[in-house]
Order: sequence, then C-alpha cells, then structure tokens
Amino acid sequence: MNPSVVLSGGRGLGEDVRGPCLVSQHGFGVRYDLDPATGVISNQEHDLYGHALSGKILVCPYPKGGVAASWCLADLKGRGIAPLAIVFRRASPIFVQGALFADIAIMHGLKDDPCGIIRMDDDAGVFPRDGRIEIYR
Amino acid sequence: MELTEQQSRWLAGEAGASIQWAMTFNEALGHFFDAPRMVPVSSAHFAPDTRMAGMAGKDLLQRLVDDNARVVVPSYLDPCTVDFGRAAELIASYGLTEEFVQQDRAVFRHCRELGFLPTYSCINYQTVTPPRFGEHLAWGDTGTAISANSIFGARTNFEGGPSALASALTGFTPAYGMHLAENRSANLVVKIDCNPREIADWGAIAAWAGQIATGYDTVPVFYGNFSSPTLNMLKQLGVALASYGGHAMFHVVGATPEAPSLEVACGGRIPADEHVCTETEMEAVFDRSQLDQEAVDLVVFAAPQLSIDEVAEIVDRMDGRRVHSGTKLIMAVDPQVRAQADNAGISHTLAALGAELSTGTCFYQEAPLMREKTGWRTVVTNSAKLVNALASAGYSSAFRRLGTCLDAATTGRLRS
Repeated sequence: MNPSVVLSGGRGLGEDVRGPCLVSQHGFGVRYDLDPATGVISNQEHDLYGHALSGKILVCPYPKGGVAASWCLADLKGRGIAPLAIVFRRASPIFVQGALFADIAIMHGLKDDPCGIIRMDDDAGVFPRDGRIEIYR
Repeated sequence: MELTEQQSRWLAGEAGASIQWAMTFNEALGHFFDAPRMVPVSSAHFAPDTRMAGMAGKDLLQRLVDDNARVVVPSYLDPCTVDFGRAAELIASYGLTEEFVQQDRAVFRHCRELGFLPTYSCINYQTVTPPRFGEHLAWGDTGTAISANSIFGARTNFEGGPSALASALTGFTPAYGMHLAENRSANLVVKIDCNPREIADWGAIAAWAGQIATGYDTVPVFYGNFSSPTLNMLKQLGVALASYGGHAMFHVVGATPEAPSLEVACGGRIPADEHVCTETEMEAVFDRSQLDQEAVDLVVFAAPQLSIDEVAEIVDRMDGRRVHSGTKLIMAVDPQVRAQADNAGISHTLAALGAELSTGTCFYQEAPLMREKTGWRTVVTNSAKLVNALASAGYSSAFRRLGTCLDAATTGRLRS
C-alpha cells in the first residue's frame, strides 16, 4: 500500500512497527499522566484521558517527567500493555532510555510536525532506522 | 561514537555480561544523541522506583547481582517507596500490601549488594556530598540532576534507572546534552518583576516559566531586582522547572555559578524575546489549584525531600499548634535529615504535635498505593511538583504557601 503522507528526517531507534495512532496536543509523562497498573491515561486534564496505550503509536509534542518513563515502558511491555511506538517533536533522554530498555520504537526530530499532520486513529508505519513515518489513509 | 580500547573490549563482552550490558546500553544511547565519546563520571545517583520498574527492573537487578556486578564509582540511592521503619503501620493502616513492601525491600537489598550507598535521598547534593563545579555525573531523579547542573555547575543528563545503573557499573556516560558546554547556555530569558519570598513562590515561578517553553533543550535564565534566593529556594525552582518544563538546567543571575551576568548566562547572545513574571503571573499559579471540598485530608511537605533547616522552620511556624484530628501532616525526609532531626529533638516535637516524618521516601511514589485504603482525596502542599505528580493518582491538590498549608493542617480546612 502506498502511503498517503510521509514524514522524514527523524532520529529513531527500535524495530519497524505499524499500527493505529493516538495523537495528543499535550505533553506526556508516565508519572504525571498514566496509571501504570492499567496503561491507561489517568490524568483527567490530559486530552487522551481514558485512552489505553496498548498497541498504539503515541504521538505527542513533548515529554514530561523523569525516572518513571525510563522503567515503566519495559514493565508495560512485559505485561503486554505497552505502546507500539512513541513519537515526539523532541524527545528527552529519559524517554529514549526507557524506549531503549523496553525495546520499543521511538522517534523525534522529524522535519514536519507529527502532532499537526498525523490524525487520531491514522494507520501508520514507523521506521526508526530510516527516520521515517508513513501514514496510510 | 569513539570508544577507548578498554570500552571496546567491554562492549565485546571481555569484562563479563553485566559490563557488556551496561556498555551496550550507554553506547546505543550515545549513538542516538550523537555523543562523540564517553566521559568518566565522579558519581552516580540511581532511582530504582519499584512501582514504576515492576518486574522488568527487579529482574535486571537480580541478573546483575547473580553476575556479582559492582558499582565502580560512589553511587547514591534515590528515595524508596516504603518507609521501612513504619512498614507494619503502612500495611495495616495505609493500604500498602505485604507483597509490595517485600518487593521494595528486595529491590533495595539488591542495590546494596551491587554497592549502592543507602542514602535514599533526592537531595544528596544537600545532605550527602555536594558535587564539584565542572565534574561529570550520572545522576537520576530530575530534581537532583537539575540541581547539580544549575546550583553547583556540575554536568549530568537526566539519567533514568537503567542508564544511571549502567554508568555506575562502568564509570562512564555518553557525552551529550548537559555534558557539553554549548547546551548549557540560557535560551529563555525571564525577568522576575515581583518579590518571591519563600520556596513556594519560586515553585510558582517555575510552574509558570516551565510552561512557556517546554523541553530538554530549553535553558531558562532568571534575572531582576529581587532578594537573592537561598539554596532551598533554588532547589524548589529546579525541581519544579524539571517537572513542568522538562528542563535540565537553569540560571539565576548573581546566584548560580554559570550566571555572573545575563550575557554570560546566555553565552554572549541574549535572546531578543523576554518574558516577564509579575505578581499576577505568580499568584495565578496558586489560584488555579483548588480543592473540590473544604476539608483537607493531607498536608504534605515533600517533592523534594526537606533539608533540616526546612524541617526546623516548619516546627517553628507550627508554634505549638496541633495537627487537626481529621488531617495528616506528612513531611518527607531522607535518613540523613531524620538523624539530624532526632538528634535535635525535632522529631519528638513533631510527633507531639501530631505530624509524621516519612523517612527515606518522597510521598508521591507511594501516594497512589495509599489512596483507596485511606480514602484520602484532598492534599495541600507548598510543592508545585507534588501537585503535578499527584494529578494522575486521583487526588485533588492545592498549591499554597507555607503559612496557608500549616493553617490547613491545624484547622483541617482550606479557606483561601
């Protein structure tokens, strides 16, 4: 299938994945926004409140918080409720460390704004080594 | 990334599985951030965070212990989730499970077996060993790291659990981010056009400034005509900037070591745009957090842990008033400050007033585990970070100055 939209120029790590997107205009932090027991966004002020991360490509403008993300992504993955991939405009070291430890794909630094182009529930392919995201509509 | 001959051998597994894991992890991290090389670190600060790490963290520590791995630099521990001196009470009355307490105990036992020092502190720069200007560190806990960078001029990135552990085992960290001089200059100028008088005011300024420009690449500088902040105020400023803005470094002109002037703090290039924090912006941060009921379940002083002078100030300001029977007053301290408080008779005074010292913890990690059993819903605090950290845990929080917090603790009501 040919992609409808291609975003490029990013820096990423992890394996290629494809799945539905959860798109936020808020920042995301594990301790600040997530119930780690369920993998569901539990901060009522977050625009993804009530959404589960499991099996989704999480697209956010910026990361929040610290140590929690470096550990929790791996724990979520071990329990089968982790996101498929995380895409930020700009990632923080903590989220990169957490994705690396969890072996979850992560990308940032795309030429175009992923939060402005990718839509909720878009079907997307994330290719971290190529720094590319393809959207199939 | 250029590696030394020794680092290459470690990466190839010649020093065993644990060192190979540590080198592989930090080499991949350095590659992502285009680090040109690794730098030696003077110390590491590690946050095991049992609740967030779950089995993934416990299994990693177990693997390293089984391999007889040892830290090679002085390595400090962040707070636990359980105040082990009160474990029975926490299980019986606060809702922690026996299983979780045992898991936390096992995690910290493994840390000790690896050679970590039992500091259980997020203010180790204040109560254990302050870092030296210019030295490279691998410190976790964002509040600890931003304080090391900003207040002391040391150099560390935010090191989460695995990367701090990897650096503690090898003594090296990849040189990117805050290790490089070019990333430490201010690029967000904030003029303080108000008069911050206590730590909550600095937390409010940080909560406001942190949301102007979020991101690890943002380095704010604060300047203006205000009273020079104390170490405790700078500590609060940093913790809240890390929490609200994701910042790893800040400057305060005339108060932090890399900011003798605005121009120097900005690396010689002062940005054209300037943001101004007046009383209006500062007060708005307090006003926007409101409880959904008047009754106060908890007043908490934590995030970060308190220094001994902060504990002493609270006792002084209590002025003999007892904590209200329907409210708990909890103060988070590390074991170093607890010992100082015990020696000074302050712990005894606090107990007589009905206040609780939580030792070796920082409250927000265990707070989500306690809410159901205790029925706690409302929290009043002078920590801007704590309000942020409790948002996902089902608490209704109000951020207030110390005097209002103590009035709430002793009357059981928040009236402003």
